[in-house]
Amino acid sequence: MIPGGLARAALRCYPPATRTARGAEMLDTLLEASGGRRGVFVWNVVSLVAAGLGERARASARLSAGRTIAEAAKLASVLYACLWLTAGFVVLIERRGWHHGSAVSLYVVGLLIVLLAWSQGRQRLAGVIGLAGTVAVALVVARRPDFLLPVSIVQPILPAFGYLIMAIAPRRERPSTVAVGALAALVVVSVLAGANTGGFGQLIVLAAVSIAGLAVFAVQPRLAIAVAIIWTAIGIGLIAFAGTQPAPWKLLIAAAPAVLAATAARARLIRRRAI
Amino acid sequence: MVMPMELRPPSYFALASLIDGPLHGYGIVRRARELSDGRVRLSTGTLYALLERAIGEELVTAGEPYVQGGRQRRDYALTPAGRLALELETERMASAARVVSARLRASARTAPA
Repeated sequence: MIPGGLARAALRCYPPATRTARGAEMLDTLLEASGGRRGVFVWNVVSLVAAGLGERARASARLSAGRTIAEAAKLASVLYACLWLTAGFVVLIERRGWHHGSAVSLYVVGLLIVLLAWSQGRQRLAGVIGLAGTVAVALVVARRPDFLLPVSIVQPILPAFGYLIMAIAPRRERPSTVAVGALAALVVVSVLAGANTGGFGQLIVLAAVSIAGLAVFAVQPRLAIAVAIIWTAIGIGLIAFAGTQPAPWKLLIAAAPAVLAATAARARLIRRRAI
Repeated sequence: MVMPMELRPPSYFALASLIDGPLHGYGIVRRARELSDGRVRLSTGTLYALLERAIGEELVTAGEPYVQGGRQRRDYALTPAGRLALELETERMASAARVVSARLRASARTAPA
């Protein structure tokens, strides 16, 4: 990769608004300051990566607690949608010819529309369809708790909260091919891992997403909070409906409060830093 | 405006480089290195991070972008608040240096040969 290309790639660590406003200027300053010296160039590129990630961290720390939680709740609903979609695919694969198959197919299509709408920045549409789908599932599960057994690890109520925020307070976001790719990979891996393990694959995928959330926590805590909400929901489910589960599993209920406390501490730390 | 309690050396010399007039990014890098006798070498990431924060604290203003010699540039200028912050920091460091110098001289006089 030529130096200019490498520097441009490093610039992607900055938020899009900064890249638009100062990207060209920063790039030219970097190339001029490096003066063709390889060591200085690498040092400048590394500093650009660190400063870009730092700026993203400061931007996320400036958000209010309410806004941070609302955005994380939306993301949690999207992750839930992926898990439900996975469960739907698994049901369709394992119970081919099942008389409820058409209802599950309809639900899978609804979830696909929710995920596509969200990835294209159409949050209100995603929220409304998600809410409608959640109500339908809640009605079915209320009558037949065994209807969608593999998805019993997630409750239908929590994603509804995120869908509601999407519907009443949508946020303008640019369509993201990265988001589409990540969601598609999540669903495919989850289906492949979970098709023959009774939904256990979903937990593996959730654990992998949790690790990703923790990896980017310092820069953007939204994913970590979203996954923590799901773990807490699973913990609530275990306490409410599975009294025989080992006690450590029930500690999952503390995931969301713990991550929220860490997020608040992180925001205080970032705001306190001197110029 | 939020007045910073203390300026770190990179911020101090970056602001000091603007005392004589506005400079573009690379101009600030060069001038800060000259003023600090080569001790402060601002990387591009550090430079723009501190400029962003200095603009946010109204210590510096950014001019309109322009192209010079095929390079995209923008000039940055010190504001009255930035000059005041620089004066306060200079006075703080001078005062600290006076106290420590006096203690060192007194200690040297009383120390056994």
